[in-house]
Amino acid sequence: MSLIDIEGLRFRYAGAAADALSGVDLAVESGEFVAVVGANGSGKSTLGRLLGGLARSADARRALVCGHDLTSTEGHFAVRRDVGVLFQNPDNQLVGATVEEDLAFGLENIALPSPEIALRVDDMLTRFDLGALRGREPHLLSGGQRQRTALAGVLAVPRRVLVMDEPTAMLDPAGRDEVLAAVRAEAARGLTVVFITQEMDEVLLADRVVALAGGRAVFDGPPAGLFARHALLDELSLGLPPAAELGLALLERGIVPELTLTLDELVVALGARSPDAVRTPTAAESLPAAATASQGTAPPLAGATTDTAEALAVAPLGVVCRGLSFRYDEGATTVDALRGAGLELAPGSAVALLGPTGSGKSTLLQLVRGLLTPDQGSVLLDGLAPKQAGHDQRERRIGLVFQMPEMQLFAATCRDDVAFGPRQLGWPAAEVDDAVAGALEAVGLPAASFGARHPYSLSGGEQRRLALAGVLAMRPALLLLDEPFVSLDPASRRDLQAILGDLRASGMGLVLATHDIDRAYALCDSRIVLDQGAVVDAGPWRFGAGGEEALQAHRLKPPFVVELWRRLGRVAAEAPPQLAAAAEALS
Amino acid sequence: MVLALRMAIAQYYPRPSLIHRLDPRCKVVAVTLLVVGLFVRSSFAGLAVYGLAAAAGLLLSGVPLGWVARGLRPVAWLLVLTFVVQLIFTPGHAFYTFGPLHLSTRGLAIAGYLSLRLVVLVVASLLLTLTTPPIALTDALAWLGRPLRRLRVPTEELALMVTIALRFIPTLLQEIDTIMKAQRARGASFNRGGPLRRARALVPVLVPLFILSFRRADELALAMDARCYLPGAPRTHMHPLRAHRRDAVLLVAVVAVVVLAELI
Repeated sequence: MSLIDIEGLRFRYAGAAADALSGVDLAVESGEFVAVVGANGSGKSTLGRLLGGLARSADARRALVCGHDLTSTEGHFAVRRDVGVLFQNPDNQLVGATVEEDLAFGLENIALPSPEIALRVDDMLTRFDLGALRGREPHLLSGGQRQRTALAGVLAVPRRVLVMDEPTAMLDPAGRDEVLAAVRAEAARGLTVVFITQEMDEVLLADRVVALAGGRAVFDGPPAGLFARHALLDELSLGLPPAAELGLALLERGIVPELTLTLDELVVALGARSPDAVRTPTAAESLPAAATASQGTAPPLAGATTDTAEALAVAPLGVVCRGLSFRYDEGATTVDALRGAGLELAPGSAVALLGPTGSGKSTLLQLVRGLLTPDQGSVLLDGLAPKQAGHDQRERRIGLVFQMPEMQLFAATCRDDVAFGPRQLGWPAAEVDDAVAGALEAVGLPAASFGARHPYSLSGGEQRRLALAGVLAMRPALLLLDEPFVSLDPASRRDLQAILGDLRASGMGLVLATHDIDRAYALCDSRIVLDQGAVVDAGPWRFGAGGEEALQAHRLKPPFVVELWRRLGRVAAEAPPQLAAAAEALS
Repeated sequence: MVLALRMAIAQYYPRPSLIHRLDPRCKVVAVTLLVVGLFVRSSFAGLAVYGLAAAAGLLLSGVPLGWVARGLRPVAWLLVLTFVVQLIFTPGHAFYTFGPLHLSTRGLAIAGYLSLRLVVLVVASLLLTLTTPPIALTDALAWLGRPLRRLRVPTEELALMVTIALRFIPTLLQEIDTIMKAQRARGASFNRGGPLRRARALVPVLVPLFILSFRRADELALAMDARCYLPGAPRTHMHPLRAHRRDAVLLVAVVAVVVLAELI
């Protein structure tokens, strides 16, 4: 008998107008690794909860998990012993005050004798490579470490099935690799895994994939079978890695015979064609246009600036940071976030701020915006030092979008939330209205249909865009963004990238702190690399002649297109930043 | 502000000392005995005995004096106030008169005594919080409160509740810090204008914080369910509280201190 044996499972949330699940069939054998995919609202999270006994549905033809009947009260309690559920937000599932205490929590709940708890906890600490962190408090762990702790805590109680609901969505790439490696190791030990995800590369880890749409399974088969049905991919709003996205574009153009999922497959498929058929773009065509443009604009001279409001409102802003040092002092512990970082942002340029987690990217952005005061060094705006007249005015023209900015929405309507900044600046009502309407329009949430809605009635991606509008309404000349793509679903990531591209085209300066090197390459004309609080590399993108190695030295990968161009024997420095341009060049 | 809060809470100072290793239940009982004794006995000699006992405890704990002084800071104003009020308002033979002010030797003695007693009292309590992790303290209080279970007070559940609340305080402080900075980037200012304006300025901080906390409570409850937590069901502990010979020695020593303070 299957470990999970479900037929015709339905579920409706109390007060909801429609079913979240409208008759799902699912069979999973012991030891299988099954991915569950689907767009937002497809019912995949609901299914995960039901499988773990965290909600109960009385409506199913058959609903057996590990021999427990999910439709009965006792059954859905009993199944919690056998099925562990890992959720998305690592912060909200750690109960213990330390890593060790958290691993013990489940074992204490099943009333295991104390000596056995200690043994089991030691065992899990070793298995999940958490030994060195056993006494660490959760808020001092990295995202990846937190989620690994949560996973170990879930599996500390011996489980037969692990259900995961987008466990990597809130992690940076390093944390994601960390968690996926741990999951793979557990699957290799024979654990049955149900992995709810929106990312195609995670689907590829599975033996089988089940796609949900509208509360029903619309596909059940091997991953390759799902990817062969391209039309379905769009409907599921699955996150495609760049190799697959480019592969899809080339497939539609008839360049490759079938969908390629990885860089290797793409290289093979393209290599099979005669190299003469490939037109090599000239250097002038492929150079990022803005890189040349930014060299053309002379930075305004410090003394020559005229501070009329109109002149300021349209003038791009130049930033120079000199020897910035900043230390976080929290009682017994201190952290040197920046150690003498220096950099220059040309007015109107778009710059990617790259670097591993903890390299000081967020601190740098907050220093530039003046939210933190450097221990040493200074931030010059248009050549003006912090105490000089005009500096504060310019500081207000720097917009900073924090990580997960939707966390800061507070007003009762979208319009009021976006109007907060302009009102704080004391703008006249008519101008505030103007700015709000413009900002909402710019992020694709037109005031006519969204202005009066409650911010929390919006989807996650819309909330992120609304928060961006709140910053745009203050008409910044320079926009600083801290990890804007983190924890967004794939469709929202694409939308946001398009919006940022438009802002870029309108002449707004951008600084994009991100781990997403491909989007950074597509949006920015130069990059600054931070490592351990110091700027280690800055300037326009350069590839070939050691450019990739310079990135790899700081644990960063080169952009996918650059890698592809290199593998195809083309000039890496000429790899077009946009995937559409790459598809064009390869056609 | 956030930093100050963080300091006030993060009092625990980890050290591999004898005092740190003592059973938290015994420490709670010992400190309670000392505090009660301090109030019962009112003489300089008795105070000196308690003061020496607290000093000995501090030395044994290995907590740096600077850190202890940090803990005293919040009561500094109370100390000054106690001293001044007693000095001014105690009737007696004045050794110094300035206008309506009569400063008497008796007033000076009482003011000095009360302030010193307050210092000893705070140091004795600090000794407990400096050397005991909050979680251990909660467990100790839950154990000592066990008789209340007969009255259907859910002491175990309350203890877990406090433990979880403590666990989330640093996370919450980080969040407050971030939200305040983000709203400042949008032009908010938190220290401008009168009290009403300042209170209103906090709305953009408090609303997101509440929503975040409610969402967290929701998700945390689900995660606890997923880890087989069932309120009221019997639970075990990874580190059960266990008393050793050193704990008996502590209690005997504390009783000795109280008796000595009563005798001299």
